[in-house]
Amino acid sequence: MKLVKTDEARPGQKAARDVTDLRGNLLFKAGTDLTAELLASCKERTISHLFIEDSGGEAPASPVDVQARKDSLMKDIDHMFAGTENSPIMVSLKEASRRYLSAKVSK
Amino acid sequence: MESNPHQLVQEKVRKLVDRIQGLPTLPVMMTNINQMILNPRTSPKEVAHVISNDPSLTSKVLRVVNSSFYGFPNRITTITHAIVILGFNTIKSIVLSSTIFDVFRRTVKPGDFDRTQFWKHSIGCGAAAKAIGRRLNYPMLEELFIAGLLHDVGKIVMDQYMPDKFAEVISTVHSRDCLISEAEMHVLGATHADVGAWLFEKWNLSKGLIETTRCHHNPALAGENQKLAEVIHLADILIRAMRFGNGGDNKIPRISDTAWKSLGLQASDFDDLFVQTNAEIERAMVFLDFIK
Repeated sequence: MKLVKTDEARPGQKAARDVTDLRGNLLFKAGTDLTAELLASCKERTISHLFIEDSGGEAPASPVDVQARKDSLMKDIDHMFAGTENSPIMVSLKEASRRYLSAKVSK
Repeated sequence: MESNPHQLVQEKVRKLVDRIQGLPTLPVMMTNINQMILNPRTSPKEVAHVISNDPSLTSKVLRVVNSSFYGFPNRITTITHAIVILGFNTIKSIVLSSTIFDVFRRTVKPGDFDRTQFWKHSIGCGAAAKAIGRRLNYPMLEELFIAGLLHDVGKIVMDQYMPDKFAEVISTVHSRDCLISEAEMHVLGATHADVGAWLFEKWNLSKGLIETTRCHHNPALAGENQKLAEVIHLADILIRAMRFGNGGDNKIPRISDTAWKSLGLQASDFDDLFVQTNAEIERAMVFLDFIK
């Protein structure tokens, strides 16, 4: 599941969560295939973001792409934590961050 | 007589905020609700009447109370019903959050500070604070969420009311590759934490919210609110490590050793805290609607 801007959601993708309007009224349920009409209706009701299924309407990322994203992410984590190496708790946090984000990219 | 470091920072904050023209006051409706809730004889119907005078606010409150953030099985259709079920303080927190999102709606041209990423960081911090609070059996998870949600509000104040100086701060973050609080000290002599706390003081908000905002980078200074500040301090760092949203820099502050010992958590708790925070974020995404 991922959160996307309504403007960037496309017909054919699948809603991952129930979508309600500002008053909490249900517009459509999780699992609904998004159509141009539903997306227009969301925009009309100023719903800015939607949760969609990761696989909906998209080809799965290739292993090479996944590895490239992981490598880029690990570099970002190294940069973020630079200078905290002498703190044992920060080292542990960095390792947990790598595990969490790496698993997220793999999904 | 010599000034102590705290007085010096306060003086710098005073000089800084003196340059801010037209900073908004807390809306009258919020002030009224605060006063009404202090009166033990106030009824839910009376508070609901004040909120219901603002249809936009009413729909936002109903959307939040009916969201998975609270997870009630049956639909709540009136503000009075919401107050009876959730209590005055929870409704007050929702109204306060909505009010702050509205008061600081961007009115200047977008600069380098990404507000959507900022609010995502803030919501994420609130979610992480709740996850930590659950682990610690902290009694008031709602208080943690709101303190996390609003801990960085000083950045928005500066972005909105002194955009040129704040652009210089962001530029310094990039050129020095440093934390935003370090860039703020370099450019302004005070940080978003000082400015946010000053605003909340001016708005007469709770001592807990003021001290947590002021001390989220140094929770040992938060006095009787130290535990609350420690949770927000850790939540701010956890959500950076999860790379959810962005508060204006790409570095991570160190966890205070004192705060870490005081909270009594273990390094082995991080993995589970990430998972629990992620679940809390999904429930809290309804707050992103506030920035529309």
